[in-house]
Amino acid sequence: MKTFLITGTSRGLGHELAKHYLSEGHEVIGFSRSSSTINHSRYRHFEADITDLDKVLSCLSTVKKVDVLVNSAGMASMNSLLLSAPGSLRKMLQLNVEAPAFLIQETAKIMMTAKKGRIINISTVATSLTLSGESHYIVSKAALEKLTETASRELYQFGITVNTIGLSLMQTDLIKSVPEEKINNILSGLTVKEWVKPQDVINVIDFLTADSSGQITGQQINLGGVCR
Amino acid sequence: MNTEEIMSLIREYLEEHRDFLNIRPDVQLTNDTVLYGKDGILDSLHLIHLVVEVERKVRNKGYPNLQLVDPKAFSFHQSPFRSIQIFSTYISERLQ
Repeated sequence: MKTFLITGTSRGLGHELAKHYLSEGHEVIGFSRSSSTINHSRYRHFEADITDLDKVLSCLSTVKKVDVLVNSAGMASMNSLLLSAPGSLRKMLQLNVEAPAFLIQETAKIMMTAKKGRIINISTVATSLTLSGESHYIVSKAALEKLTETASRELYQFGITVNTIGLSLMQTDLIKSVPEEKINNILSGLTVKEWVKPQDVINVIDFLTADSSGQITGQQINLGGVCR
Repeated sequence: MNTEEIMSLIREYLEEHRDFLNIRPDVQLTNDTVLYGKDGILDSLHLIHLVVEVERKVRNKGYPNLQLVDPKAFSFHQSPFRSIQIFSTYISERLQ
């Protein structure tokens, strides 16, 4: 039985991942700003804004074991650079980069005592495709991807691997405000012209967290057939 | 925790993990022992282990929000790892 720490478990991908790994018999620790939407004996919920680093640290001080960290929580902003609100980039960097970085830092300290661990950052193929109209989002996710690479180099010596999964289009709240025409344009440009399902992400997480995947670190696996 | 208690905690950790930390058997661990850098007893990897472990142990003593990392902590001239005593003083100051 593994212990998963997953951010953004109140809805969307984080919620689906938490439910799946609970159904597989694992323990799940979840973070979200809202109260728990999961009621399970092996689920522990922290109601916290993960950009509040002091709060995150207080929560983690009560956690003794983490095998897998999935940085799933994130925010998107589908705006032209010219129409982006002042301060929006800072907010996005806090949630999409600073918070995951801090969670990696503090969770890795827990994993070090076990001399093994798996960290997975959820990113997007938008960085590889350099989609227009998403500059702040892409900048923040590109930073997260670089964080994966640098963290993988620093943490491998402690038995910890760090990888990224690049999502193509997935039906979550993140893209609910994107016009249908734009969605269709993106889909038509993908090799795999289908929506990503939670099971597609679970498939990659299972691969990355397998004991036999110790050689896989600092990598990004894109869904949708998108090359980096 | 005061500086004396922290010094004792650090020495105990180093003593218990001599083999793992690659500390030579003939090295006497005193409060003046240099931890890292010129004449230091630890390499960079084992220094990380020490910092993380000491931070964890002090957090468990009732300081759950302790963060030992500070940009200044790793500057060459003000390194808190010059000796066990200096590292302990650095930690006790962060507890205040």
